[in-house]
Amino acid sequence: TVEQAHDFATKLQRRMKHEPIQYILGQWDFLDYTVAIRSPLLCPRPETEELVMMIVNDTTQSPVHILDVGCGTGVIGISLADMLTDATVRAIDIEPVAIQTSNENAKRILGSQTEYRYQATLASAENFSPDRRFDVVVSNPPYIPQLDMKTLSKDVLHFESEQALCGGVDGMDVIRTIIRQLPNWCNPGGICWMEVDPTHPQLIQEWLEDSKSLDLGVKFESSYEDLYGKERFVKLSVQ
Amino acid sequence: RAGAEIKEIEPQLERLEAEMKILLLPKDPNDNRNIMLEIRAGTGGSEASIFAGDLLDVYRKYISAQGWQSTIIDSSPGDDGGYKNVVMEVKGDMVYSKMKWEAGVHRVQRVPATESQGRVHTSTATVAIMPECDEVDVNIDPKDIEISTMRSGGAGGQNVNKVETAVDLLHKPTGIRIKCTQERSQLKNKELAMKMLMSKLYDMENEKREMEERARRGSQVGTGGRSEKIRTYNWKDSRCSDHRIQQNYPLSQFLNGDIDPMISAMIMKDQEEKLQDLAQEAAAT
Repeated sequence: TVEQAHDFATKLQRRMKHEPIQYILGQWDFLDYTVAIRSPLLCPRPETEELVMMIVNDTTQSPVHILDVGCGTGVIGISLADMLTDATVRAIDIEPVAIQTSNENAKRILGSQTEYRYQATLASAENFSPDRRFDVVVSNPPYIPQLDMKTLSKDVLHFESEQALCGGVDGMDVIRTIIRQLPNWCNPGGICWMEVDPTHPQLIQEWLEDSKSLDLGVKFESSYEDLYGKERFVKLSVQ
Repeated sequence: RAGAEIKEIEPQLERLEAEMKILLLPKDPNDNRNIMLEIRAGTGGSEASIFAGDLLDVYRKYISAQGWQSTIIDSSPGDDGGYKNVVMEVKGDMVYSKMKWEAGVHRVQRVPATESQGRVHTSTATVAIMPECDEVDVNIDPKDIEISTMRSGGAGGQNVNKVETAVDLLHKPTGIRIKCTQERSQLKNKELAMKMLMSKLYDMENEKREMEERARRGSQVGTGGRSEKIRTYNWKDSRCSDHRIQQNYPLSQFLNGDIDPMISAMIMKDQEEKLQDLAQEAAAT
């Protein structure tokens, strides 16, 4: 139809300006789910699919209470809520669009169960004081080091939220905040999984194993490679 | 009075006996499985690809009429239309039991659309029907698999937002290579590619076993080998010939997707042979 042709042409124009296709279509697939994706939220990457599957395969506890820090579109927390038995998820982000989109995606995927299994609220990692403790904390925090930001391609740099991408000078700002908060957020024996920049696993391990860091109460368990052979994921535990 | 009853009952008895015999026949354990259907253009260049596309159309119609579901997993388009190669997953009730009779080489004799001088060409396309299976049926060592994606190399992670989710999977021991592009999620493409690989490996084992079995039986219904010519489609004569049972069918019937009569004929012939086999075994003891 004429409307369809016009609509298609408009979308093509946007794509020619390097706008991410997920924003143009308003949705994309993540694992088995189709989720709403809105500007300026980070479009989920394949590595994050791997993170979720790793957690699913590693988590046997049930019921399990999960915190998703910097939830964005909500895909991590929502997938976990769907795939793990008896899982509840709290999700936080500093971007209001993230809260709206996460809660919307949760309803899409979890349906009526959303009410008692998933909740996204506006909060920053520094200020978040939950009324409960968690068994698993998961995050795909902004982790790109400042200097790498200008190497990014147009579709990332000009469209996706800088807040969701840049982690400060070494990319570790938000990661450090999260790690410091873990003893306040977690049950003893709680686990923290994060997707990070490949320079980070070593930095994190060195920091946590330094004698001066013992009072942090967080132990470096392991790092894992992604499909492309990059050290992409870390698993930490709370004493 | 009793005599009249016997006359009524006799034909019923015969029918029931025949049905019982068929129920006693060894069943193909794969009959109720879903399948991966693969059509590959054979000899004949771009015309073979067009013919592969024609075959796909026929199967799509049949699949729809049967109430089954199909999803294309991977495809390479032909230069002038159709496909060099296309793989489709078919799900439904007893899919393998019917579609297995389509496996083999299909031969077409016609004037190609691309032919300017009106000459008849003979081209072929190979259909492979692979029963779907899971880890119980086929054991794959993760170390034997090499996965690569379009995005290999470069920063990855948050740094990149490329939606090329195509996955390329190589099974090193057999050299089987599978590409999966269909899904928008990379992990889903990986899963689909693994499914295809398992089907192919399972199919290879099956084929070997079946060929031995059929050769032993001296089967006319075919050795099930994938290089066996099973049908020729002749456009000039509007005829479709099945070489396994020496029967002809109207070409239009085939092109309409009405292949049930051919499949039923094959099933019956297969049953007849199995019955004979059973009878011979019984006589020998």
